[in-house]
Amino acid sequence: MSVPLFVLKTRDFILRKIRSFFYSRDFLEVETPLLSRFAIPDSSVRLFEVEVNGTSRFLQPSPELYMKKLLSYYRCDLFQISKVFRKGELSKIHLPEFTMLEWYRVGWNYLDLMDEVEELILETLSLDDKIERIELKEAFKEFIGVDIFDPSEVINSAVDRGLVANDYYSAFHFLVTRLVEYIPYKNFFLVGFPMIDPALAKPMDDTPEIAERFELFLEKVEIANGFTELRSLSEHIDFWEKEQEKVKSFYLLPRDEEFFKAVVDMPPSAGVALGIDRLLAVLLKEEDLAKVVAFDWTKS
Amino acid sequence: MARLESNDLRVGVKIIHDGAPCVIVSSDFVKPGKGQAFVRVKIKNLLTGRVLEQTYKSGDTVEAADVEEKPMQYLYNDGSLWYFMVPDSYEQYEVSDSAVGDAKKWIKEGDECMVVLWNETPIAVVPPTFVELEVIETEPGFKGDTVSGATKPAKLETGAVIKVPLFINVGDKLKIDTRTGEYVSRVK
Repeated sequence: MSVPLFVLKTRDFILRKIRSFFYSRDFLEVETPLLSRFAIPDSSVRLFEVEVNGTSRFLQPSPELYMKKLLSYYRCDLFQISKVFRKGELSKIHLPEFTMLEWYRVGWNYLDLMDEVEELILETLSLDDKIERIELKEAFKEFIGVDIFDPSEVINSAVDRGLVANDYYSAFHFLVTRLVEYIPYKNFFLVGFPMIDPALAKPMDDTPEIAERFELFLEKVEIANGFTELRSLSEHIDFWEKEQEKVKSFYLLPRDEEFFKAVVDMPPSAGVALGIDRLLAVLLKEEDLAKVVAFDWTKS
Repeated sequence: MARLESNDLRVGVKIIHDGAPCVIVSSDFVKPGKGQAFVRVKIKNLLTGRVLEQTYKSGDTVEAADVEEKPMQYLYNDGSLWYFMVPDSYEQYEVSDSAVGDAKKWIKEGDECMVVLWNETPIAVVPPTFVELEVIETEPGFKGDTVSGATKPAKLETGAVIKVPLFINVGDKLKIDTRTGEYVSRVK
């Protein structure tokens, strides 16, 4: 074994801290199928498709779909720590198989939840400072010099900075990677995301082009993504059909009627997903995720 | 022309960028949890040597460069062009002065070099890693001072001037590392 024991002890410590955080707040810990028949279509994520007893299953890319079914049926605060799988994602900060913490709060919005994420992080990492909240629109103006909602400004700036593509969606994400480098903090929340991502986030009531959504960065690495949950059935169906169309050359994702029923009954809520391996890497000051897991994926 | 998936943009792969052949010197997968995935590469322009950073969308395709490295023997130069030959086929290539570049500081007639061809046209010459060249000009040497690390300039038979230890004399043969342009040792 090449991983020192203190790495595994730190992982064990983080998992205990997280579980006790949620137990003390009366959450229900749940599990969802790793071999799932359904997955929320997301054109930015590729799934592992496997054959199980003659039927097609997907290794879950996120527990979101099944946790929302539980949320809708049981209407209580839920959390889960599970393995998730994403094909083709491999770098120092990506593993094709990684550990995700996901939780849902009934009756909360993204701002309430962002406070709770901050409490969890400060407790787990024993940090004292509040975590900065940064508005994307203002930060784009200040650090990149463009209006985030002007597609041609965003595209031109991205191309000038070395992006070989000319669509708003790619240009926005490319500039966010640059912005993160320019922001004068290591730990911060980004808020004010335009409604362009394949995320089931609720649009803001007064400015529907902005999502009620946040992302947490620690040491400038994306750690968590959370939002007020979208509850409109028609918007869910639109989303599903649009994304399904984009991924159909890779695999057929069947429509999940049970999920649509759950959407109709879903209480107002907010949910967030957080990468445990990356959190551990931050705590250990380690830049390569392969060094914070017991078995390095490339060798095991 | 062949095209490459952006996911195949690994170190060492040659692509066309802005009409010029480039080699990938570093490659990183970049992806937010929600949103577009990218491949961020550093590429070196094989004509100018300039390095720049480019980011491709995951799944996009990029034009591959038909770049090949062939071992060839340096024959002679006629003042404007340099002539190289493939030893097996005796096929000869004319190489421009700019394509020979820094290699001209080190190569002598008969040396085996690596010639980089783009669409069958020579664009660069890589000299042997180590060459042995004679000193034609330097201050007289003196014995004794071999450890202080002091150096003096010496002109080699190819015209290149390098730093050498003080004990080196005109007529000495030196082993040179062409990657750094540094003196390695005196050859007996």
